Amino acid sequence: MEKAAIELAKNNFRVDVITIHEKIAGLEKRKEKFNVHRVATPIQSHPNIVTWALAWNTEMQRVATDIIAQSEEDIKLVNASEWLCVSSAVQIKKILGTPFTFSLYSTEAERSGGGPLGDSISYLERKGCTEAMAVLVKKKQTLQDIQKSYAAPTDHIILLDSRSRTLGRSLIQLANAMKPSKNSLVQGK
Amino acid sequence: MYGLSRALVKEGVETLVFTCEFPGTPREEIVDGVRVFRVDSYRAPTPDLGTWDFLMNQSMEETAAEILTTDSGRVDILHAHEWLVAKASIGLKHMLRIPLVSTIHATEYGRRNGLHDDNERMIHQTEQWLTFESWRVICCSQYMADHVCWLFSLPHDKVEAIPNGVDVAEFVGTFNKASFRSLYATPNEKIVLFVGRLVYEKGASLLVEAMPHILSRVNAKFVFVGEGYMKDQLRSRAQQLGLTEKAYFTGYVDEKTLRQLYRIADVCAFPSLYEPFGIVALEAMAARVPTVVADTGGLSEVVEHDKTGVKVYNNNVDSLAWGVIKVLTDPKYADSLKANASRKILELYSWNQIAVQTRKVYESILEEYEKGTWKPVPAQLH
Repeated sequence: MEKAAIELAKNNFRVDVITIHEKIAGLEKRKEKFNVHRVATPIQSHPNIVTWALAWNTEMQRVATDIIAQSEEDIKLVNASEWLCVSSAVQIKKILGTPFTFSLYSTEAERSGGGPLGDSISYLERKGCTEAMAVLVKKKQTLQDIQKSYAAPTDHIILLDSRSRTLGRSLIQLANAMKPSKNSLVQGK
Repeated sequence: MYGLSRALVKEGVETLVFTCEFPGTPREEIVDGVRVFRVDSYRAPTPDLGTWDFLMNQSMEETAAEILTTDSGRVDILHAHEWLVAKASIGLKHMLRIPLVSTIHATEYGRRNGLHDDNERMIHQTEQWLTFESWRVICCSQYMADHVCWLFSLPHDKVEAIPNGVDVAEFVGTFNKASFRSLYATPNEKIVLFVGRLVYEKGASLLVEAMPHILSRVNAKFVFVGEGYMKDQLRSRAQQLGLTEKAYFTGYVDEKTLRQLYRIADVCAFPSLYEPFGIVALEAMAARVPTVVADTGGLSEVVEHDKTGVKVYNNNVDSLAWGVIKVLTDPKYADSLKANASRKILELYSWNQIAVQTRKVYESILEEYEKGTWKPVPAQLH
């Protein structure tokens, strides 16, 4: 995520990264010319990571809306990193009309054997795949998984590599293909 | 929610209700002027209630977002009822940048008499988060308002006490009382009615313990309406006391049967140990049944002793027995309680009254909101 932010900033995009930190909250202006907004989860006790993530996403929505309210230009694109950020990306799309890309480097099916918690996470991954304008993956295995399990349209999936098709470059291409406005809002973990 | 929303519409407040899906009900409908939207809940198994709730909130927020960003769906205020909709309400508040009001009917701390595991702590912290994010918090009694201020460290001017209401019209109409009554008691038995969950905090066990004392003075049948984890325990205790035939545990009953039970009862007893409000007391008063309540929580505010009902000492079997016997052995006293209670219900607890108070809260919030700089983002309508 950091490399992608640096790459976008080098290409004159305004970049705001919203990420987690339980102790240090607030805005950091990076020397690489992008902003990092650290957000803490509003609830400390959780039965599992799903409730933790969903509560955290509500705070991310707040920060995202504040950024948009203070910005002089529209935010053109959001990138959600993993299922952890799907909730807020979907709401930003539905309320503010801002499309999002979904970077998914592994699926829950690869990580766990299923069960109620795993299924909850898969539900959010599926939502990310179906609501996003593009899904960015790193492995063919993940690409095949999401085609099979989440019915993601093939032309929406971008297989990244470490050389020419990095996350940053892909986001730049997608943003440039949209319209001239150069803002982007990047959500990360 | 049902009573309040309809009354708000009559008060000129356009009201949209987002709630969970329910089998056999339509996704969208208009009920007495209220636009009701039922959202998909998460239907797959979840490891716990908290996970289900947060996923349901995800769905609720998405559905609400689709409606509230259209011309016909724009609203000025969000009103959340309980922690169960905290995530969706707070998310919508921040994205739409409109004020949020919340109603807290009861707290996890109060329900569980403390916090004992991560699930309970999560619910408690979600309640706290909701009250923090709310412009105002509405509680159903002054007792709850004080409790919430203490528990969540809220300033007192943030919290309003507005009681629940009752629709008296639901307790009128004719039916064959004698025939219905015969299903529950013999003609020479007085009916003592308890309505509520059969759980510790509702105090049904106290009424069971009071049965021998009451029966030594009055021939009565005790009808317990409700379900809960203590049901078998209460039944066993009645059996141990040799009073199996004097205690009837009905389980869950439908609304119509419940209202008819209120109307045939000779006295209602609500010996709660913890009660944020006690809507059952209002229902009994609306049905013109003398009411005996524990002097605790919201019950203590709803009932005026010797005027609209009888208040007995909290967690005290002898005092409870005394109160029930007093009502059952003094018909003139019972009649005066019924008449006074009926008047008070119409004066203070009609849904119209509650809607007027609620509307005033909305208006004061909007007045403050208009003066501020926190306003919707232009990109919201698309």
